[in-house]
Amino acid sequence: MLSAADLERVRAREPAALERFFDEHFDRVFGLLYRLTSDRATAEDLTQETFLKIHRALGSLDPSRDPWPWVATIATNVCRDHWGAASSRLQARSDSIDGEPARTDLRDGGTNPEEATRALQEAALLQEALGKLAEPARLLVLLHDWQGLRHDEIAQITGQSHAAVRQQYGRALALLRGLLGNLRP
Amino acid sequence: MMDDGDGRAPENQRVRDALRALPPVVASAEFRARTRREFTSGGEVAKRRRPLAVALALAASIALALGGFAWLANRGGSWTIAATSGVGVVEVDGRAIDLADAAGLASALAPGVRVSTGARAELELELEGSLTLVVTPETTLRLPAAPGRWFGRNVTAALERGEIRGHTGRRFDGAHLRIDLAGGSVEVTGTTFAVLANAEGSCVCVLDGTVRMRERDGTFVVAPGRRRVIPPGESAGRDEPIRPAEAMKLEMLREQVEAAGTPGSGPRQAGR
Repeated sequence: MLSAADLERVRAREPAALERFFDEHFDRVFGLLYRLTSDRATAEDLTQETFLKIHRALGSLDPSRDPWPWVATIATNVCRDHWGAASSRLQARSDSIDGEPARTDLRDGGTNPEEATRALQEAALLQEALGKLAEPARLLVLLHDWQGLRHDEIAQITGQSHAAVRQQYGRALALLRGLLGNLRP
Repeated sequence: MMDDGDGRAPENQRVRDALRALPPVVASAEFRARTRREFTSGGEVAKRRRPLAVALALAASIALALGGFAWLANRGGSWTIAATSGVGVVEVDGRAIDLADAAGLASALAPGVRVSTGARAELELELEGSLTLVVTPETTLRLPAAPGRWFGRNVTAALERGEIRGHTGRRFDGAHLRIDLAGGSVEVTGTTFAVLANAEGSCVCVLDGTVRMRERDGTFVVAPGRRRVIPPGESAGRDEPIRPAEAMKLEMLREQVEAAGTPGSGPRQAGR
């Protein structure tokens, strides 16, 4: 994890510090954007755009705080802009047919092939259910349960009140549970 | 680290566990390396997505394609040679082409070219279904464009000397052909007619339909069976009956074209 001194160097755009910052956040940014869009090419586009915006906004990075909520805010805003564009809606219709499934990392040493296959199937099912969830609800459950952000941090990211986020998160989870129940054989 | 919000109901726990167990998503090494390089080398990430630029380019392409399609669909055809008679050469924009070289003549004809027939050469030109023009010997004419199907239906020719005879077809309906002359201009909207420019002055003869002749003092309608002549150097024309010989030539043209199945039914043999 980068220290405050490291983050100061990131703010100053020192190449070595930027490399460390990138390495620390790239996988989470790409993973979040893939889970949010269910499309690899779109996730790549949005990841590039996110890092472009991060670079431009480095002056506003607070070295005294964990930078992940700040990074997640930028990534989330990029994704919401994408959702807001009419083109994303057109593209979304073809995702279920044309979307290239993302490679997921199942290499944890002790997993046997059967368990790995079952985990992959479960992940695919969950990703499908997430894709059917409304975009704001999808964002809440992924930020909270997959990315490990607290509701107050999510509230800052989405610009909502803490209470509203808690309430909507509960509904989103119930919806997701229902969707998963419908999808499971 | 995390609070549970309103999702802590036991029945939601399985969903939460599944979400937390979602495996990390791995980007391709090439994409990761490229994005890292771009991020750390100055920040100007080469954006692959330029939604506005792409949308504008797409809109421009569609507009261009639609415009091109409309332009192509609107085209009223091109000039072809229906018949030739006599011998000698025809000059097209100053280039002499033997009357017998029908292919060479046809390829040289285009809207706006200056066609000049020799002393014994006569050409019958046509725009399929729209207009037949007989260019008699010793005539110099600037050829009009074909009227468009839906727009651009006003076209202009110019007769410098000699005589042309014309007959319009169904596709000409609604179009306007203006023929500029030394003493005025003639406006044709659907008729069998002849226009002359010679030592007697400028003249338009009408077999059927009507033609409007614009002179210095006004515009006059020339009725069927009449002709209007503007003598050289005079500003006012005079209306008189069409001469029998001219009426006969126009009748022959009309019958010939109609017998062939409206203007544009294919080339006829030379030597009428």
